Amino acid sequence: MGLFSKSKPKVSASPKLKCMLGDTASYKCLFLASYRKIPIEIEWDEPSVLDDKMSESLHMSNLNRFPCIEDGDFTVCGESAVMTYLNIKGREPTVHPRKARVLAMQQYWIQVLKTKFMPQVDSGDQGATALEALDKALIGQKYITGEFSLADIHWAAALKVLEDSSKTSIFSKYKNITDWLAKMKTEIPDFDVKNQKVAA
Amino acid sequence: MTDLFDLMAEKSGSKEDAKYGASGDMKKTQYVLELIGSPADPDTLKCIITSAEQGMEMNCYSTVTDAVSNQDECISEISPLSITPCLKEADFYTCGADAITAFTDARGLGYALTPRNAALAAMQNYWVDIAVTNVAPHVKLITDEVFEKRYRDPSYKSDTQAVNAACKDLEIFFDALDQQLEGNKYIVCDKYTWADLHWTAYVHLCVIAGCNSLIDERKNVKEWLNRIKTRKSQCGQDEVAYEMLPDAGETQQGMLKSVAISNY
Repeated sequence: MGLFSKSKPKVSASPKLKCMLGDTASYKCLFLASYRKIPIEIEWDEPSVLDDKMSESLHMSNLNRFPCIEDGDFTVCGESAVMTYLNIKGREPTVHPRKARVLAMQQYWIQVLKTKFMPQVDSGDQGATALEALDKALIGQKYITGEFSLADIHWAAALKVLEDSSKTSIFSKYKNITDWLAKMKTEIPDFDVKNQKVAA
Repeated sequence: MTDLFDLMAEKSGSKEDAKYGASGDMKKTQYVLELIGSPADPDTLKCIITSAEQGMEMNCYSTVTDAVSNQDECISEISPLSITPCLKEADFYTCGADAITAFTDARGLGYALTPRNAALAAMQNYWVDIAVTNVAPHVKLITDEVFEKRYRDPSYKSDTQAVNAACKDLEIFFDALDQQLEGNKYIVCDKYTWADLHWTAYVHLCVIAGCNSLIDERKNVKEWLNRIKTRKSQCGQDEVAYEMLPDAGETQQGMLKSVAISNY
């Protein structure tokens, strides 16, 4: 295309994010879209295996991955894939630490959430070991890794779901965590989203 | 604090070799990485592959053959939540495959493995997710039976029925992988991504544990694995990452090989 030629007008319908109320993965995706100011249509629904078109087309039935994102003719399901998509789309800077050590810390805390805290809470435990470690890590820190990262998005979503299901007592005794969560509520624009159609 | 890395380096006999720069040769990598893991653990294998792909030297210590007397206690000092494998670079420690692979990828010499295109990157992580969420539990069952239980008790006879059942449960995912690889050089596109790296770890463990039929009966998976076995590393150096993985015999013995970059 020449230097002075007219740029093609972009026809961009907002991507549609199919979420489920009370689902931590859905809130992670929603928070990331909101933080990065990506306009999306949110559909709150019970997930259906039919939404996971990729798994169905590959004959991996009943995987039922969610949330799902539909953008034009592209559909992908599952927290990891959707978050990756939302972290690249749009014009706002990607949430991705540049320093290798911070990046490692981000991934470490996401793994702590997924493999230590959530399984404990799901089995009726209080997840105290992981919370104590997180509370300690937050001493003197604004964010989990020192700078805003995906670790904050992941943990904020998990604690929001606990709050919404009246399980605040699990983490309310940890001062650094509650202070950090209060900060997240002001920094993630749609933290209290429930039924809005469009984020950002 | 006892430095478990120092203890295991001594046990493995690599402490003297690890004196970086002692010969006067300067390598592109500033520090040699050190890893503590198990040869039957896919997360450990992912760290080794990443290191080789990105041209970072890595001294690997096995929790089986390089084990020290107070190992569990020492690991909990490095990793209070018992997340393994563990990595050390100079004064920096981190644990867990996600943290170690991200760190090594960022510190390494090669191009980042994640595609820049949003849809391809999402596809990549869809396949990583299938591997980690759906494939990993079955592979763990297999490696527990074939390797891990024997590390604890060398006379243990693995439960063949349980291994065969786990192989059978994996078929649906290998069928999907075979379908996905139709017309693709690598899993997501014609470039090597994290999806290939994660699947390599699980596929390699299936092969050395005796579940070869999962690969041999699927043309595209078989061809993909052959490509993986011969591809030069991401960093452009003359190394094949797959060759750094412990083979069946080494895994049976609980041995890990270190990642050595020869043509720096």
